[in-house]
Amino acid sequence: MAAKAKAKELDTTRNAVPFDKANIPGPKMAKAVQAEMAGKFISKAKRPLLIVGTAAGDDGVIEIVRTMAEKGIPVAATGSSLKRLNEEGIDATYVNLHALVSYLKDPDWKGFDGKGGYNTTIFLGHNYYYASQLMSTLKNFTKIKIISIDRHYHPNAGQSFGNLKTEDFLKALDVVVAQL
Amino acid sequence: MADEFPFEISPMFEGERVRKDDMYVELAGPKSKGFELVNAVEIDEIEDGKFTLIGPDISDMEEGGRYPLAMIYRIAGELVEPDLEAIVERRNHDFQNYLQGVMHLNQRYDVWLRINKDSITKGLDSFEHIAKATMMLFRNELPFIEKIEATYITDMEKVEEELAKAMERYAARDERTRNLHDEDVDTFYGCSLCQSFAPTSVCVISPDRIALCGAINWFDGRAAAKVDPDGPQFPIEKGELLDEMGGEYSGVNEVAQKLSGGEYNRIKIHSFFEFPHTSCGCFEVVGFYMPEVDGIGWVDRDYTGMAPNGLAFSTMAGQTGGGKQVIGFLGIGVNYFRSPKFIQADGGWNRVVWMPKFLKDKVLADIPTEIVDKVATEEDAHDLDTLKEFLKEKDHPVVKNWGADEEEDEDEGSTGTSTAMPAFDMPGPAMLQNIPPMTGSGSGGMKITLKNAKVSIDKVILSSKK
Amino acid sequence: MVIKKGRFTIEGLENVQINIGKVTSSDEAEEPQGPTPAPDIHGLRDWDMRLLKRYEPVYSPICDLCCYCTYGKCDLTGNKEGACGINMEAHQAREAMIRTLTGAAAHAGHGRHLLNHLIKRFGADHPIDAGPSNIKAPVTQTVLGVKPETIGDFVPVLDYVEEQITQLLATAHLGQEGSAIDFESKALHAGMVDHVGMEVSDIIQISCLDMPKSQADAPLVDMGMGLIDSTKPVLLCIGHNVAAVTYIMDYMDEHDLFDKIELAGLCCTAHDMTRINTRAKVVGSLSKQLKYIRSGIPDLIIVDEQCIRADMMQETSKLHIPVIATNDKVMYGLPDRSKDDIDDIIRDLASGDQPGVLLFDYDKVGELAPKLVMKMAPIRKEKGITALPDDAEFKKLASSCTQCGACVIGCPQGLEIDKAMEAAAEGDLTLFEELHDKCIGCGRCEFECPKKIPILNVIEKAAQKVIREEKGKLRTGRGQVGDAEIREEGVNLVMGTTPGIVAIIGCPNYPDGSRDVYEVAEEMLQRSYIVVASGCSAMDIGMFKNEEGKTLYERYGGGFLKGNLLNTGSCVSNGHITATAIKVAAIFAGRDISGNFEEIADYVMCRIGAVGLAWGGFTQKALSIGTGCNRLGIPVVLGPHGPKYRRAYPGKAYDKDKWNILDSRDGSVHNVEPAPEHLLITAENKAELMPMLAKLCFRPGDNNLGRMIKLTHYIELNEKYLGVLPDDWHIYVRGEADLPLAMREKLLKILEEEHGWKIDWNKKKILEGPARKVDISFQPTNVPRLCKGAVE
Repeated sequence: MAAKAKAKELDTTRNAVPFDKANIPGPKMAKAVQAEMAGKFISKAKRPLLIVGTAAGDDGVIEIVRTMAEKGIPVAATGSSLKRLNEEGIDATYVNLHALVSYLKDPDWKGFDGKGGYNTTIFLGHNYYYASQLMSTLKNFTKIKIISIDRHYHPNAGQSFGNLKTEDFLKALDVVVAQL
Repeated sequence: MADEFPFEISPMFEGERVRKDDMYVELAGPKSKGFELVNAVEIDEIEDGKFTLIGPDISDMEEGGRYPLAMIYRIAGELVEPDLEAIVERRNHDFQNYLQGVMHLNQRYDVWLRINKDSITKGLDSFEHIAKATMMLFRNELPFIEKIEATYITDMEKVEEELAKAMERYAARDERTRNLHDEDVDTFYGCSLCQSFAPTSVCVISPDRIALCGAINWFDGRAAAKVDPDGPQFPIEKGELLDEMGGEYSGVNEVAQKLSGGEYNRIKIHSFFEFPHTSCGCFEVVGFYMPEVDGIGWVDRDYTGMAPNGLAFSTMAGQTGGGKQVIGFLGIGVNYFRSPKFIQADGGWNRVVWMPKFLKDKVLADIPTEIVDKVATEEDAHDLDTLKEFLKEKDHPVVKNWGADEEEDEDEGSTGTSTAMPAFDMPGPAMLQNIPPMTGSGSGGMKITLKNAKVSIDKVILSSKK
Repeated sequence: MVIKKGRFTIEGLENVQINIGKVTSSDEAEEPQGPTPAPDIHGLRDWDMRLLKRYEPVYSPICDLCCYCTYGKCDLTGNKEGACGINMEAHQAREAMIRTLTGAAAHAGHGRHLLNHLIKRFGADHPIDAGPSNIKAPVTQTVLGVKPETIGDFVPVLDYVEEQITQLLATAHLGQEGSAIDFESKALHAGMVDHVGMEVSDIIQISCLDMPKSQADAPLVDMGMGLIDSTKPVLLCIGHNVAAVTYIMDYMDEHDLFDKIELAGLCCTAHDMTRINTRAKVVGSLSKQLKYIRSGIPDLIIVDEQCIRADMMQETSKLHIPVIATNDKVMYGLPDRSKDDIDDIIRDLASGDQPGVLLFDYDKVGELAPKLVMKMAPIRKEKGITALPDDAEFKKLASSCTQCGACVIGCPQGLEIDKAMEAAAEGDLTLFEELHDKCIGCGRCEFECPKKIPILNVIEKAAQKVIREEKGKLRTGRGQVGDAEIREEGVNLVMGTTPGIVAIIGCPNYPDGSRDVYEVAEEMLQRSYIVVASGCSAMDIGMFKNEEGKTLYERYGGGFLKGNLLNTGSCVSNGHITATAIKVAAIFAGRDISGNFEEIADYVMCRIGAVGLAWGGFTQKALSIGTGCNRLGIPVVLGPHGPKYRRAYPGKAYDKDKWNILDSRDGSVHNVEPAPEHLLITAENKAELMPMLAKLCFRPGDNNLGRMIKLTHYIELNEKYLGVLPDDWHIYVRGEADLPLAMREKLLKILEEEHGWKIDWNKKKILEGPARKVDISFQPTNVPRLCKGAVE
């Protein structure tokens, strides 16, 4: 199929070094994954939460957010992403990213729908150093799975793409949602 | 709120200025005529929300032109009465400034408006939008207005005709305000708005005593209490008159006890020395008692110099305020000088001995002619000596009371100034030999000789004998 | 013989020395002392615990390792313990405490240096005068319980500060504190102590060096790289401590040299120079430092302390710019020539035999600097020394770029330098022109470039046109806020006409260029907030103009009044911000402040709608300033680099148990709306920041006028920047009088339809729904012992 073909030529594990040169947190760093794998992982998640940053409003990316939202993945809109999401009619809840990681850390937080915490967080469209730093909170203080499907390699995620060129990034996103 | 109106409505447009080059039209103002007026009428006299325009509308006006404008609002409701007219009217200024692109200055017959060119292009083509937006805001803030109708007039002849009637209305109101005194009403109003910052501060607002912040008079209090009797402005039934000169009432005392959290339970609203009215911190003027002349001086917060007692505004202001009753200092608003009952318990103006010239000039018209030249300013006296001289020279009423008091110690006075404590020179050991041996009166116990001892004293407190 | 209690007579005094501490008159009302004068590390721990219970610290480790001791390095990932037993949480708290402490030490050290210097110059008896204030040193008085009158009175104050710093630093040693929450308390202590140090530093220099004293209309000065006349000798001063520079200014005044020499400053030295002499010029904030050196324009650089480039000597020697270091905190391995002849020094520096010297004799500095710069200028200008490439070289450099992207990875902001290079090679400079303002001037890119392109020089060359237009205006630092101003503003605070106070402070490590702070200030000023600024942010705020070419300082007054923009001054002037909050408590509520920190902080947190913004916070000082504000109950927002400080204090609005407050009238417990929602938080971009600032100005003590106006701006800002109504606006509605006027009907409908509230439509009243009603006399407090009838 076209998606499989795309997946074959696309290698999202290349260049898996932190996009910020010295952003090497320690011995545990994200495993670089292929887009197909990332998609499968997300589709298996029991309580996923898509966390988007302002750059998720960019063309090419916002359609992915829409698809994931339509597939029932709740969307946490951080930064000023809510503006674009709303204009596009995508259902999302505004939350500050720093506050969000503190909620995710709280075993008593019932999530946005009141049904309980989330076990998998999916990061997309973030300011690199901001998200990287806050992923570190989740990585070190929770058991929540972190998968970054963003453009750059996030060492504090559990799984991440390498550093991708824009075209490859958009292709990868297509492959990801094709698995859902 | 661009939904119904062709402009945004927000307090953030309050400071918006429309300059000549940006204006589409100018309305009323110094080069034309106009006024704003609110009339209280019977409920069946008006149709709620109706707008009538007499004269050209905005769309008929030429760009850059100047036209007269009268804005007449008629309000009705169960709780509406003529005393509330001025309160509602004052809000016209605030509300019209909330409208983006509309600038409203002054009040009454001095009103001056400009409309921005941009607003015209955005669809502000009729006064109806302005009037309806204003009426909406009136209804939202003042729910005792059950019905409201607006008539705007831009025809000069008609404006002049209505203006004459309006002037009579204003005059009648002013007359009522002037002639309304504490004894004419049964209810005063309390205001506790400041309690969010000054927990024990409650202002009692009577016809002869406006709130010291200057923002709320008895009529305002009345209106606000009608809007929300559980709100920050509330009625205080006077109750029994306990002290006429001091202005003490049983009903006021009850409230004082409750709202100050027990800090105090009596208020004499026209007294300086006994149970004075408290202040939060934003008073414009602080009064201070100078025992040396048995007189009261006043300093306003813009005065940067020293009062004759050697203290600055900030220092004295720091002695009072905070919602506490402090004897010897009193925070007031400038408007209290104008009250016919101004500190009448303590002699009113006859007890006033000093105020900065700037302040005195501000309230000149309200100072009784017999005393006005006897009140010193910084040009006449800058310390207690020169003040005493001045008061004696002018034969100020307080001079009569001077015989009773002994001359105060000349050294007393300059406490709390910003001059440094003089450095205390350490006497060398040699000097100590001149100190006579200390013997205590009264014996009991043993005798001790200190040899080669080092005595460290953390603090020495000197008290002058009174 | 046993000496018992009783009375005895001293018969004689032989060779007795009596030392008397202080002589005071009993006419001065004895100031009641609060419970915690000069608290030690655990003195205010109870208060800290109250804060930390509501705003639980959240850690975002920048490194999963601990590299402290020779047992390590230890991997703490997943909150493991290291060899000494410390876990990730506690280690992060420790790290954050050390940063806070470093900031406090920087200010305290600066203060002590200044104090020693000023006492020598003016005498310990020199009176304190920072403006018309009944409380001369609010922070000092609140923390220590003392009321200094002379600069000498500050000596024991700094003794206290230094003791706390030593004790706190000791707890950073291995095997000290083991619990994160207590490291946080220590960090809060360090922050508070920092504010004391800052207040001392600024008050003494205001009092002695003739700086503006709480002056609302302090003079305006020109600012910007574009304003320095590079045809004249340019004397550049970099740092924070103005002591040595005053001698240069005095010498230049005496010899009428201000027309002949361009005396310019970078960063806080510039703030303090212009507070003393408005003929000094301000180049701009810290991020201009390396850029300005590279431009080759400075003919001589004087450094003192804090925020100075560590590679100063490497950079300046390449460009034949001599350096004079005047403070032992920054010595660069240079020779100390304080005892040498001025002419000898000038000769050695001018010839290039020595790249720089240490000169601790300030009289010499004053004379030498102007003489040297006038000598250097013709030499350097003749050579046309600059690091910037000419047009031909520029084209060559840009073309040599292979777009490998190494620079982008090396850049702290991730700027797309490679794309800009590509465009520039083709003659299009626009990408570089945009990038130039976002570039913080760190130079890391150059170390990454495999082609060794001097990237910073390329950026600066490309942006020449833009740089020439960088001309702004700054209102010189006014210092404290005076009592009369606070009293006058009181009405606005109560009536809600001033919706809040936003303090835009700190460093220029902005996520998206320096325009952000200008736009935040402009928006808040239009909405009648009071905007206070200091340090680098105060400068950047003044660098942008409206269509009429006017900067914000020209458009808005400088008083503590609604819709005014105040520049308090250099970084040490930040102490005046907390001081102003303290004064509000003293003036309006008549609180006794001496040694009464907890009660005052509690008052501030419950009532004063103020929020700090360190949008580009990057140094340790920024963290200590913010943490000190936090202990006094003032929330702070950092930019997206903020999580690198490792710890924040977000609040959990959904956890109702965290938002219980007492009514001090009777000790009853009330559950209130989350206000302020966070104590220390970060935001991703300006758009997210704007409504957040408005929300962080809500307080439990708001009356309905105040709440209505604050809610209006929160809702409007959220609609403007995020496009919608915020989904938690209704939480802040206690009654219909809290509803924004223009939207009342619409909001009442939403409350009824979406939240199930009961509305009386005739009277437009809310009958049921709010979590609590408005009670104007509600006296919120977090401290049980402050309640009537409390036993504690």
